[in-house]
Amino acid sequence: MTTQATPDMKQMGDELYKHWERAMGSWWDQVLETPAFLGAMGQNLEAMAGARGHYEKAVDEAAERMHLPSRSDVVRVAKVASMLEERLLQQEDLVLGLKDQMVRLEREAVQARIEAAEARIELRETLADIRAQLGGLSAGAPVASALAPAAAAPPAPSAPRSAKPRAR
Amino acid sequence: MESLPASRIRRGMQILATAPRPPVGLTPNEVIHQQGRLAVRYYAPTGARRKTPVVLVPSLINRAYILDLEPGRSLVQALAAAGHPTYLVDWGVPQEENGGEDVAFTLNLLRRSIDRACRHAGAPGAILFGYCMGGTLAAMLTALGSARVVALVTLAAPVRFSEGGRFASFVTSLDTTTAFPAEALVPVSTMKPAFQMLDPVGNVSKHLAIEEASHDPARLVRVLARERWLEENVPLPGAFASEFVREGYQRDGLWNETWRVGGETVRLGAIGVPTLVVSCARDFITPVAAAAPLAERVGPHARHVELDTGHIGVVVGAEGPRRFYPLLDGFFREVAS
Repeated sequence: MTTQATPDMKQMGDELYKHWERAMGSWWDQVLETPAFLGAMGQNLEAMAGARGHYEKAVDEAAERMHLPSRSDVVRVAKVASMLEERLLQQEDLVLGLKDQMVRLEREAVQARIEAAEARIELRETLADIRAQLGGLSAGAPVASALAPAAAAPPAPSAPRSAKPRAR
Repeated sequence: MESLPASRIRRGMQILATAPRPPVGLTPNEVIHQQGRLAVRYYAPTGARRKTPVVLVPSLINRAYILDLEPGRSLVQALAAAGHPTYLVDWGVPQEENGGEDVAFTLNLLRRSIDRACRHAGAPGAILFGYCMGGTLAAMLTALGSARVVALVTLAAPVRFSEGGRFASFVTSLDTTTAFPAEALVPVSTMKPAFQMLDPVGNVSKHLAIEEASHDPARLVRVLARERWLEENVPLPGAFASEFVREGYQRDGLWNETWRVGGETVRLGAIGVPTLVVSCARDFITPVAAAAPLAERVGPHARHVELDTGHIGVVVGAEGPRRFYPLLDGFFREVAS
């Protein structure tokens, strides 16, 4: 007796199965949407939750009678541990936030110092230019017309040094 | 008659029941931040390094390794190879003590994770990518205002919950207070049947696919890795589940702008960063009509792309490396350095 179906038989079996699958699918579609099924499903879920609650209560009572820590005792301790961990992480959040703020402030302070130093250098260079031109004047050289703009418009101290051309 | 579907399905069931599951999440990574069950994993770029980090946010109800399922079908591996400093928010497995964590708490975990990722990368901001429920959370966090988010991508993320398909029908009339007790976990045994009922026939047909894959070892490994992920659901904190179902699915709170988190109303229209909304044409968990409207609400700096694939196939199927990963890489290069 052979155990292998012929290709035709296999094809026919597959076709039959597909028909069955489609028919069952549409039957289930109808059943699953009926109020009776949905109501029963809801009741089943509620009953399962209720039964679980009763079971846990019974286990707790049994443990208590034997002077053993009950499930709810253990859960309570674990909850306290979880809450403590959350509190610790909240503190960590705060510390990290403060650290971010400090880094930002530090960056701003360093930037301000760099800008102030740049302004001082600019000023020193302008003074050196003026001195050089004054030296030229005292030596009898013709008056440099470039003296006027350098004296009239000193560089703004807050502008970054690299951003503007030097007045020579 | 072993070639007939019934026999093949039976063989597929046997394979699924007995075959060892392949290892997953193999891309080398370093944990840079931890809080309880949550870990932020860093995947160092292997290509020419870019500056802006990418933070990936998966769903809370599944394992994060779906974004790193196997070599060659791993989003984190693909992004790292493209030079993006990649961070994965691994939500871990909630324990009983996490039952009271609500959406506000979860968004706070996410905000901190993004902050630590940015600090680790030495960058002022990050691109946020959210998948499924993770996409909804990513959109909510961005809408609430996060200076660290420079661009947003959502994949199959519901925002218009009233169009949420069958899952929306399942939970519409649910009493969330009774079904999801606020201080307890919603166990996997409660959630799994609801997800299985989204595609009841698919649960039978998948065995046929497994049997077919068994003739090719590489393909079988791929199928089993995906099955492993589907099997390893995680429970959900009750407070989170209750709020998500009530405010999201029952009140359509994101679309109607009624969902308040930490005293603030979430307004998706307030998202002011470049946004890419990706939806999948064959997605029965988050239909296109539930995901795509985010682009419309965000406005001109958002765009929507619809891919012809399914909810899971888009990241671990053939369409992932072929279309989805390059789409993400292109968007990341467009919006950040």
